[in-house]
Amino acid sequence: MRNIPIRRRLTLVTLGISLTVMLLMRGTFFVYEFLTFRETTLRHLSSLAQVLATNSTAALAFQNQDDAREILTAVRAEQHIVAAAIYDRSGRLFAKYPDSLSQAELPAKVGDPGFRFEGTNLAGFQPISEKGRLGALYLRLEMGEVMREWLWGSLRIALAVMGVVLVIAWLLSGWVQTQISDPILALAQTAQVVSERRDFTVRAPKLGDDEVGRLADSFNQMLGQIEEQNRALRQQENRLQTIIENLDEGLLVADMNGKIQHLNRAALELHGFKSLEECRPHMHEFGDLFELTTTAGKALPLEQRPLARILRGQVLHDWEIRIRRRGAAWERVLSYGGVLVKDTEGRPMMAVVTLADITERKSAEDEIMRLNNSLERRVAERTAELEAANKELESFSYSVSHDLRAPLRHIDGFAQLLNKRVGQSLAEVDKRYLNNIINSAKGLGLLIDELLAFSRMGRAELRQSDVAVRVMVDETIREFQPETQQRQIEWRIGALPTIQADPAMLRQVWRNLIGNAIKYTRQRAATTIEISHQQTENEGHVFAVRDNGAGFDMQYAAKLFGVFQRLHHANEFEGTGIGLANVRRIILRHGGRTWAEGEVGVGATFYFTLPALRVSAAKSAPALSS
Amino acid sequence: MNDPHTILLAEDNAHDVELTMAALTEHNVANEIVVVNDGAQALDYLYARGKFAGRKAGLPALALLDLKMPKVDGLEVLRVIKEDEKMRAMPVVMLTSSREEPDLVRAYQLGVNSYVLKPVEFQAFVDAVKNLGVYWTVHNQRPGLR
Repeated sequence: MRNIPIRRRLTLVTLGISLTVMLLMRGTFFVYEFLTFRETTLRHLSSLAQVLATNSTAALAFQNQDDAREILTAVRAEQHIVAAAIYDRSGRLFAKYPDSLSQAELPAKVGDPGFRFEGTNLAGFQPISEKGRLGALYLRLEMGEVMREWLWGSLRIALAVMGVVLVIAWLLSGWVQTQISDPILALAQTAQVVSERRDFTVRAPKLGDDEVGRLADSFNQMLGQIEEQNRALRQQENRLQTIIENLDEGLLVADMNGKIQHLNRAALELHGFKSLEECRPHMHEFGDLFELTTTAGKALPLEQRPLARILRGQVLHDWEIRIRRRGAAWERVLSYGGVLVKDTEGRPMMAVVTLADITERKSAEDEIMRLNNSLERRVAERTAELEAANKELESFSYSVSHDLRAPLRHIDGFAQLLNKRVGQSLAEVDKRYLNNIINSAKGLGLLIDELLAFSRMGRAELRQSDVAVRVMVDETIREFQPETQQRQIEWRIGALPTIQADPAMLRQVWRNLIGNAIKYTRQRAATTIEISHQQTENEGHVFAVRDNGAGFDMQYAAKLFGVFQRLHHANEFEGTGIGLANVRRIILRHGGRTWAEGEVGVGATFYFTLPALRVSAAKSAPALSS
Repeated sequence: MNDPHTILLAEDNAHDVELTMAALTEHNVANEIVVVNDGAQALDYLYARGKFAGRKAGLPALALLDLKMPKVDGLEVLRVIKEDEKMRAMPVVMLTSSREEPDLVRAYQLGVNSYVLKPVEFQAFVDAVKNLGVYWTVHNQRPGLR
């Protein structure tokens, strides 16, 4: 039903309704007429029967058959009466009409009065009575023909009316169509045009303000929106396209069969093409055009190449490949990335490959590596040279320590022997000369020792470890015992911490400072030497060695730590003047500082600091102090 | 039977020899002091070969070796002595001016009995030598050396 065009449907409906109404009406009418007709006929027959009955009383009373017969012939007037008969009182046939009618065609006996329809006939009895029942009259009316006549007449009218109605209905439906189906058709047509030509600029005509009109409006609105969206989409696409085209990185899109769908400008260039036209003819055999090798030098067959891998589901990121075009002097190093793009249902849709030209970067990297290697080589060479230099220095100090001392020893030795042999018999001057020789030799020895220590200190690495300062100080004091056991020295030693320092070097420092303190207090009867420690935030560990010895003039304090600088004459206190320079050097290397305060004749205090880095808590294991 | 008071002195420097001898004799440390000027001669003496072929039998009570000597140096002599079963027990003292750690380490590794520095000051030197001599030849007990 739905597939029949609206137009026809409307027509059919209109006609259908009209027809139905008409038929119903006609039908009703028909039935009514039928019944009325029957009723009328019955009544008519009854009336006629009554008249005839009344007329035939005389004939029947007087048993006048001819009269009876004559009366019956009056029935002739009513052409449809096919049988009439009079029965006497006893029910015997008295007269009949028409004469040709046989007895068999008449009822045998008298029935009940009244007329009834029997099939196509209307028949019945009318009693004849005149002061008592005389007989009965029988009439039979043949309906058939009457009916037929009536029927035909009725039908003709009906048909005529129907025809008129149908015509009117047809016209009506035609009118309705223009009102309804035309606008709808127009809409449908517009829709078709839009869909065929994909032209969203057409609009459906609005042919009225009814529902269809509103539909047309909505339709047009929708078209407008689609047009708008299309425009926006196109804009978006253009933007994307522009972006992709202007990327520095190459972008390549391939379908699931590996066929390249799109390359942006950068991708074209990276493959050595100047334009899409130049590349197009090669689209199918893209793979054969190029040779790809990994940075390790392995040639990649087609199925190992980036696109094939991505199509298999691998995600590529920063894969460096050397690409060379067959038959052309063109080679680059590219960094490949890529992934399989899936649709919203998770089905793989296309492969996207990104390419970045890293040829320069690669060659820069290679250059860097080369430089690095050569640098490493040079560093190794320099280190070797330095080590060699160090070794030379070491053997130098070795020779010095060994070879220089020997002649020194001889000088001193023979001078002493000479002294022993002739010393007493010499003149004062000669004695002095000899003593000078001996003392000079001694001095030279000390100098050599200190110089050696000094140079060793300069070269050596700082090997930091935990040092229990108190232990070291005690040990150092013990070293001087030969000198101090004859003297009265009061040692005031404060709490000394455990710190991080190079033990050997620190020992030098203590040896020097304590040795100095002992030396420069020699002229005191009662010596006090104080060793103390403080920790401050700025300086870290601050150590002090105070003595009540000869002291020094603060004016010359700056010179104290200088190499070979002495503030006392050699005949007062021996010394080479290197000791404090050594101390300063050591402390400086540790990152601390040195200074001193003194007063002539009162005493001197020597300070040094060590940074409190990684101050370790006192450990259970004894700290290294040797 | 060895002479308990023979000292072998291996020293290449003539001055050092003289000074050492002076020191040793000052305190009558030993009866006889055998002086050799290099390691080879020291070994010759010890093994009683070469120019010492006909020497008196017996090993010295003490060997004083300098480190730096031509031909065969002190450490080499030390090594030979300490590797020789018969000589191992003989006290060997390195008497040298080298305070270099490697030398010390090597000497003790080889089994030196004592390592003494030659002091620059003569008096100290004399004392040291005297002490050495007295200690090793008088105080120190050792098994009968052959």
